[in-house]
Amino acid sequence: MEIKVVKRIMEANEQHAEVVRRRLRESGVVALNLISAPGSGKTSLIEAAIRELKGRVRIGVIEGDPDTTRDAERIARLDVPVVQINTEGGCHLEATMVLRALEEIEVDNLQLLFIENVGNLVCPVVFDLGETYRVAVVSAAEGHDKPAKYPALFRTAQVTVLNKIDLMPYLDFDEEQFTADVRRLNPEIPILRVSCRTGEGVSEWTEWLLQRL
Amino acid sequence: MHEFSIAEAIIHATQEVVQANGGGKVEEIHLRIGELRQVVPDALLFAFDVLKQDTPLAEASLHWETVPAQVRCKACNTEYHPNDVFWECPSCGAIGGEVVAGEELDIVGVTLMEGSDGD
Repeated sequence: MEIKVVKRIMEANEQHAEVVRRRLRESGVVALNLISAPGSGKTSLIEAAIRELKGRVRIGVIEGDPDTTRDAERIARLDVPVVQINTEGGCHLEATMVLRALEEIEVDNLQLLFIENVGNLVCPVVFDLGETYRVAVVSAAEGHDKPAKYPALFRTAQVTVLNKIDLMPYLDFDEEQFTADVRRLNPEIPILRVSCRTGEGVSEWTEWLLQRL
Repeated sequence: MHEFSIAEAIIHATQEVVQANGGGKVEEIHLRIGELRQVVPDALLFAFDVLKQDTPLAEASLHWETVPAQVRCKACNTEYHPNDVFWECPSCGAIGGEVVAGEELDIVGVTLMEGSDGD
């Protein structure tokens, strides 16, 4: 017997993402899904934002990692609510995981929610988490060719953060090429140059965040 | 490696289709996959073969057609097939555009083994 259907493969995740979106809207929370390769500085960007905005904005963080609670411990030291999701080897977060975490983190008390995805430039792009904005993070040490190699992330993101710009003098990073490639994928996307280490560009990052609220 | 994630979702979605149609053993799953999803066929087949073990889909095979990417220019509305990761309108040269086709990840048919359906 042949069953003729048109069923979206990602349907289950899409439905959960819609529930997350509705839940965020009801609570008046802006959620950011940070996607990057491992080690680009997602946690550092979140820490930098918390240091700048704490006291002014009620922030929460959902940390996604295959294993360990190290990132959540880093965030907890800054005294903001944090939930760690361990995917147990899984390479991306899914909307159901975020949905569970929303209740745990008491989303109604928040204004701004960071969702740090598992470090991976491919799989997280396919899974809508119901976020308000998608943030693509690249560190200069990864090379300028990441946008061209992983176009789907840069096409679907609303902002690109180029992190670790303090390392540029030691790298063969072609920033002109990087910027041109990002703009060819997504003509209007802002590109924020940041060094969490020196603090350069952190105020532009937090300014961008404040404008989203 | 997102082929593993997609294979997992295919198994889940197919089981939903089968249950909604009275159950049965799956022989074939027919898919429509958009070019922009950058799915590597061998990687998807491998992932599916690994993950289907111990599920009601253990004997199922995967078949799919690739849907070519189609983009609509935001400036002049021309629809074209992008030949590169960077989309440049062949008529007016504008960069970027809206996706008309090429992001499909659909199940379009499920074949059940003879005599295995719930009827």
